[in-house]
This record gives sequence, structure tokens and C-alpha cells, in this order.
Amino acid sequence: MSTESVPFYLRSEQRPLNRVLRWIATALIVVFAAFVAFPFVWMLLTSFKTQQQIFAEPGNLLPPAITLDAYFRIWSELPFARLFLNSIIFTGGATALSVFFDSLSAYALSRLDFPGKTLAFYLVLATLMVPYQITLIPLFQTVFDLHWLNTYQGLIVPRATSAFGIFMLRQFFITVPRDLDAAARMDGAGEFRIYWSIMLPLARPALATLGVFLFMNNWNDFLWPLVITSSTEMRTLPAGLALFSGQFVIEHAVLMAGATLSLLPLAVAFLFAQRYFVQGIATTGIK
Amino acid sequence: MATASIGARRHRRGHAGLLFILPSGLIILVFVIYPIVQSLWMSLHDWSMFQVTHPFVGLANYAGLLHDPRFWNALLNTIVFTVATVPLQIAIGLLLALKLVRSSWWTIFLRSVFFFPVISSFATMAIVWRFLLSADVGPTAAWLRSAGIAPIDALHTPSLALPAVILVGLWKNIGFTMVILLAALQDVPESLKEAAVLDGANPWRRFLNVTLPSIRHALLFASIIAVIVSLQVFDQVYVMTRGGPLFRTETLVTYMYEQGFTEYRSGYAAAIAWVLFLIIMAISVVQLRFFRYRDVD
Amino acid sequence: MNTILKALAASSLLAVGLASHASAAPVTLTYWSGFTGGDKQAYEDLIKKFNTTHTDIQIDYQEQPWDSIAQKLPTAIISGAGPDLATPDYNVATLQQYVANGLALPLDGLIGTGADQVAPGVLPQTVTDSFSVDGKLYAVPANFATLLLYYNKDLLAKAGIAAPPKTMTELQDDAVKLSDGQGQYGIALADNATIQMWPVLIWADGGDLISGKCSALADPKTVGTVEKWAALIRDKKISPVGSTGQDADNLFAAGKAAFEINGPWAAGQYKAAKVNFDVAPVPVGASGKPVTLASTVPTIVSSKTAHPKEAQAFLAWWLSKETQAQLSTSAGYAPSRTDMATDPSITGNPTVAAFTAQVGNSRLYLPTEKDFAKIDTGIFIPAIQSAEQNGNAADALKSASDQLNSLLGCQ
Repeated sequence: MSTESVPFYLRSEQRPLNRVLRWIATALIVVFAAFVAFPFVWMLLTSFKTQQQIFAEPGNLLPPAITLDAYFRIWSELPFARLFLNSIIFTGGATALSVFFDSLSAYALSRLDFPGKTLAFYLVLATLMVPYQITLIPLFQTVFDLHWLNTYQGLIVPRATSAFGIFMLRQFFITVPRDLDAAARMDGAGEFRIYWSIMLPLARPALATLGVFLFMNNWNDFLWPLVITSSTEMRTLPAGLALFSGQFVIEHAVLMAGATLSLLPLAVAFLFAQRYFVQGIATTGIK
Repeated sequence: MATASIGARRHRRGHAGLLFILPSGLIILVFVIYPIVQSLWMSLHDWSMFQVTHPFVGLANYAGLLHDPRFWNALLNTIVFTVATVPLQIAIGLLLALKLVRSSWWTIFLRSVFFFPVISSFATMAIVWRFLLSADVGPTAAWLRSAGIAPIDALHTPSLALPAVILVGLWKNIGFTMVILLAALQDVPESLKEAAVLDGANPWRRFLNVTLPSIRHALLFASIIAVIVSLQVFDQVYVMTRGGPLFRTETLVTYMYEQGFTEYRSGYAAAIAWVLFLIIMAISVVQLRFFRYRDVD
Repeated sequence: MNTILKALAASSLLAVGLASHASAAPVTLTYWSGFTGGDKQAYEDLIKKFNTTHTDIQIDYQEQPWDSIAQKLPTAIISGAGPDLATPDYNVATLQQYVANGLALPLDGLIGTGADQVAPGVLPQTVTDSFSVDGKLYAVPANFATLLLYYNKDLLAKAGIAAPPKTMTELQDDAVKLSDGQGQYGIALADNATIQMWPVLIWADGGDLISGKCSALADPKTVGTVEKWAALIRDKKISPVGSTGQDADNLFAAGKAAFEINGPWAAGQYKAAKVNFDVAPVPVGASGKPVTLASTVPTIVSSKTAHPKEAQAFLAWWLSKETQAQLSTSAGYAPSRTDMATDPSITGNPTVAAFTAQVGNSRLYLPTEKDFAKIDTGIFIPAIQSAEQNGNAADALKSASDQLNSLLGCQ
């Protein structure tokens, strides 16, 4: 490796001592990565075991024979397709709406002046600091008063915007130079036009990042659907899977199979959005 | 004439501003702020969700907290948890980011591994962790036993339970910090680093004087989020230890949850929530001042 | 004008008359049930059976995790969003909150000799006592369970123990013999988040938590029992410390514990885990009388229901011999009726028969204490855990007793 291809500030690393240190660091990272990945490996392998295998030989990670019993039970005891569909509707709907509304608000908070703007921003920030459990009952009451219990709109609308999203996108929009939109304004373009045609395209990485982040948060959220829905048909996947945990009995293989099934869409989405994602988080108002 | 049209345009922009925040504003007002205000109202009453009327007690709930040893215990545990978690999360996240900053298929793979816990459901993974940390039925215990080592029952040992909970929290969140700092590191200008090398600065000084200041905004963002999340820790404690053993892992939010939904004292629970809110607010303000971060305004 | 009005009146009367003679649409009752997990299937089958055999009443059966019910049910009933029927909690004492605040309907029409009724005296006395307030019945049992001593036949055989212990002293000795201090435990004794096992030990020796109206935690019998068991746990490692119910179940399922005091719901998972187990009555302690824990989940009717008659009709069906027989054989619970001890479906199933035989010896745990949660998780369990961890049973129980007395308003 020629010294030309190595960045300036890393050239001192060519010295032997530094190379040894680097190898040690690499080894440590690999070990650490194995540690981080281990729970997922265990979860996947356990989903292919029977109850007996889980308890009789915990030290054996690999199942003696792959049993699809747990997956079969989930399929037969839950309206799986329906739960999956509900998850898609809820997560997709809430995420799409949230990205849209959050970006509108973030644009307003960063580019436009209106009375109460600073107050609004701090209010939004402050809502992040209240633990959500305390608002469960009042929220349940409100949704009931709107006759939205056990409905899609009851599930989606309260989640159609996110304080975190507004905060994140606002930090991003602030860093975008104002020349472009100033020029557009001089040409007489309306604010929505500027937002839609200039800001949003520039913000694609940040929007994608927020989208992935919200998608995974909403997908995994089982407490919220359990509060809003009471019938199994309206439940989302994680909420439906909660039915396999009893008060005193946990059916581990089934639980792990359910967790794997729940994680799969996220893993797939994440792998696709990988490059976008890591690069995207970068551009979110950290400048 | 020109000034008039500028004024008119600004007026239009003001209108546009209000319109733009209307959807989010409405939703947040009705579904976030209103319940929060209701919870504040609840904290001023002796509020049981079984009853239709609730006697007003003013600040009695808050006064009660002052004399409640379980509250102070929970507060202590929460602070310890946060003080242990946040610096470690930032430091390890930063180390990982520094090591994985160059993009190659190898580093991208590793980055994904470390980020994976972030996208998983904590409720389920905490159950997995309970199994893994079990001194009796987990795989790690089995391996230790076959190697002749007696496994430690961390989750049931009063002095070790909180460290175990901290460990699981770090496992979950380090990836998030790493990704945030990764991004910021990739933006550190080459020119600054080259200048430092030319000035004869060694790697450590370069890191201190060039890299760190360049990523301070990311550091602030990461640490504010980490503090807010840590102070509100609930999921892994609820699933793994329920606040035990002997209340050694009981945090403010788990105590709040128990008071609200097991003992049905919603007013008292709300008071706990609001004390926590004040604490988070205070710490966040201190952080902002410390980092002299004016960009938030 | 007059004729038009008369015509309108006549036609509306006619319409009403016709409507009431037309076949009425079935009344749908919503039922929030906390029976998830292993019991789920048994209950769903029974509800299905009801729905297919009743054309006038249909049950919309909605399962929720217990946490969910605890969060939503009171508010839901008060605001009118609630179900017609519900299981409010697996702890009986929660029922008191619902009754005291008028959220549960008094089941006046339920006990009687009519068609949709339950004959008086059919429900066990413990149930009637704890489900009634001021002489009115407010709930019926969704199930009735007793605890037995599960034992691992293979482990006992290996240790040379011929038969399961009959007395508490024998149990303690056996537990010591079956523990090796290295992860093999004599007994899986859970102390938190569990069906309560420690109270059984205390009751067996004549101690109690509450006696009369005041705390019995500091009584010598209670202290002695806790001291004895805590010492065995600390010194002889007969059981891990701080286990939850799930931890204890996992241990027994893994063959790592030889004994466990548990209810009928656990049998299924132990069979699935291929444990060679059997059940025996809980050993008799120093009191000389057999005693075990009873556990029952109340089902209430919402006070806001629009169909009280139909709801009570369903409850009467639930308590019928046929339904109880099916519940027992499919989920392993004892029937909630006192007149089925000789029923062939019960006697023909050895596990069910064993659990049913203990109904007369069983006691509920703090069934009518409104501050149940505070007493259990705030006072009793910490004292037990402290005794296990620190060996200071006498002190821990004394201070717990003082706390309990101040809570109960006793000296």
C-alpha cells in the first residue's frame, strides 16, 4: 500500500508498533461485533427448536434438527396475514404522513417567520422529555372521545407527526444555504413550491433517514396498538405476538419465531437503505 | 413601493409558516400536549382511574415524593444508570466510528452489525437477554459450567443487576451513537487535518484539537438524546428485573409505571413523571450551555 | 292534519309491533379476557362452542395482555368504551376496586334455580366470600386453580427418594439432598412475579400474613418458617434467590429443579419439555393441616353494560357442568363447582382429579385487600427477598409487619 493512498493524518500508522496496535484494535472490534450479534443468532436458532431442546441442552446453540413447529403455530393460531397487513398499514401510513408533516413543520421553523415560532419549537422539544407511559390513559380517553378506538385512523393519526422528526429535520434545513430559496422567492415562487421543488430534493438523505427511523420505531411499537385496539383483527404484528406470552408461561420457541418474523422486514429494509442511511444520518443537522 | 411588496411578501411567508405547521401542530396539540397537560393536572389530584371525581390536593403528591424512600432510591438508580451509560455510549460509539470511518465492504458490514440492535424490538430482545444472562437455563451458563466456572447470577444479585441492565442498554444504543458520529467524522475537512500534521501535531493532539471540535455538534446531539433516553429507561428494566432485586434496579419510570398501573395511584405517578421532566429539562439546559451550542435557538 | 297524525301514529305502532315479532338480531357481548399464552386455546374453544350453540347471544372474545387490561379497563368502563364482560386482573383483590367504584354489576339474577341461573351453594365458599361485597355477588370464577407439588420423578429416583415428601420437614430434607450447589436445585422457589409460593410454606406451619385485621408477619410461626427456608436457600443452595415465576418454571422445565409448587397451567409446558414429572399434594407443615394456595380469576360484568340479562346468562352457561368439565379437561383447572367431585370427566383425568381434590384445602392470597399491590410487592416480597439475601428474617419481617400494620390501621 503506497503512502499516497493513505490519508495524511493516518500516515504515522505505517510504523510497525502502530500496525500491531491496529491489528489488536481490529481483533477487538471483531470480538465485540460477535458479542453484539450473538443475541440475534441465538434468537434465530432458538426459533427452530422445540421447547424441550431449549431447556434440556441450552449449551447447544444449533438445533439437532430444524423444527418449523413454532412458525407453524404462529401461522395457525394468529390471523398472521391480517396482523402483517395491519402493521404495514399502520407503519407505512404513520411513517409517510409523519415524514411529510414533519418536513413541512421543519421547513416553517427554519425558513419562515410567524408569531410564536420560538415557543413552538421549544414546546416540541419539551414533549420529548415527558415519559410516554404517563400519557397513555389521557390519550386513550381522547381517542375514545373521537370515536377512534379500534380504528385505523385512531392508530395512525396520533402518530402522523413526531417531535423527534421535526427536531431532526429542522436541524438539517438550517444548514442548507439560503441562496437557492432566496433566488426562487425573488422570482415570485410561492413557499410551498420552494419547499416541494427545492428543499425536499436537497433533503432526500435526511428524509430517507427519518423514514427508516420512524418505520422501525412504529413497526416495533406494540404498546401503542395494544392501547388503541382491543380486537385481534385490528392488531399489528408485535401486538398480536404478545398473545403468546401468558402471565406465567412463556412459549420461548414461538416467541423467538415471532420476533424473527417481526425483524425480517426491518432487516430487509435496512439492508437496502444501508448506504443511504449511514450517509443520511450524517447530514441531519450535525453541522 | 418596493418596501411595501417586501412587507407583503413577509406577511405571506408568515401565513405560509402557520399553514405549514398546522398539520403537525394540530396533531401534537391534541395527541401529545393535551395528554401531557392532563397528566400535569392529574399530578395535582388524588387521582385513581377507578373513580369519576378526584379530590384536588395541590402539591401534596410532590411533597409525598420528598418523603418517599422508594422515590429517592429510584432517582439514585436512574442517575447512576445515566452517568454510567452516557459517557460509555459516547466513548465507545466514538471509538467505533473512528475505527470504521473509512468505507469499505468490511467496515460497512461491521457498521451494520453494530446498528442492528437499534432496529430490533427491545421488548423481545430483553427477553432474549434474560435468557442469555441466566445462570441456570441460558447457553452462556451452560458453557461456563462445562468449563468448570460457576456462572454468576447477575440479574438476581443486588449489586450486579444494575450493571447488567446498563450493559444491555449499551448493547442496544451504541450503534445509534456510532452512526451519528460516523457521519460527522466523514465531514471533518481534510485541510484542517493536513494543516495539523504540517504543524507537527501527533495523532492524539490532532484528535483533541482538530477532530473533536469539528464533531462537537454531533457530540452534543448524541449526548442530549442519550441523556433523555437514559433518564427515561424502562423497557429492559421492566422485562429483565422488574426493578428488583430489592429495588436495586428500580428507575423513575418503572416506579412511575408501578404506581400508576399496579397501585392505581395515577396522580402520584404523574408527579413522578413531572419531576423527571424537570430533571431532564435541567440537564439538557446545562448540556447546551456547556457546549455553548447556539445553533439550537 | 288530524288524520295524517293518526295515520302516522298507527303505522308507527304497526312497525314497532312487526319489529318485535321479527327475529331479533343476536345480542353481541364484548368480552375482554386476559387469557393469553397457554390457556388461550382452551378458552377460545369454549367461546366458539357458546357462539355456535346460542343464536340469541354472541360473544366477541377479545384477548389482551393483563397489562393492557390494567391500563385500559377502568377508564374504558367509566367512559363507556368498555366491554360487557371482562377479567380485570389475575389478582382477586383488584375486584374490590371495581366494586367499590361502581364499575362492576351486582349479579343479582345469577344465583337461583331458573334456566339461566346457577343453583345456590354450587360456588365454593372461598369464591363466594371473596367475590361478594355486602352480600352481593359481583363476579364468577373464570377458572379455579390450586397449587400442587410438582416433582421430577427421574431426579428423585436418582437420589434414592422413593416417594414424594408428605411433610414439610421431609420436603426440606429431600430438597437438600437434591441440590448440588452447582446449578442443580432441590426446589424452584419463586418469590416475585409469580403465583405465590412462599405463603403456602408459611400457612403450612401455621403462620400467616394477616390474622384477623392486623399483620401476622412478625408472629413467631411466620418468622420461624421464613428463617428456616431462607437459611436452607442461603446455606444449602436448595433454590436460587430472587426467581420470578417464569424463572422457576424454566428451571423445572430444564430439569434443574426437582420440586416446584405450581398450578395446573404449567403441566402443558413441562410435558412439551419432556420432563418426567408427577404431582402430589403440598406437604403438611407444623400446623398439621393440609393447606395450599387457591388461585381464581374473576369475571365481571360491566356496570355500564346494555345487556345485563344476556351477560348473566353467559356466566350461568360458563358455570354449567358441561362447560366446567370441558374447561377442566382441556386446561387442567379444577371445576368452579362444588358438585363435580365425582363427575367422571374429573375423576377420569388424574391431573385434574389431583388438583380438584385440594379445593377444600385451598386458601386465596389476600383476596379482599384493596392495597393488595402495595402489600405484596411493597412489603411482603421485599421482606422475603431480604431474608433470602441477607439472612435477617426476623428483622426484615418485623419492619415489614410494622409497615403492614400502619397500612391496615392497626397497632
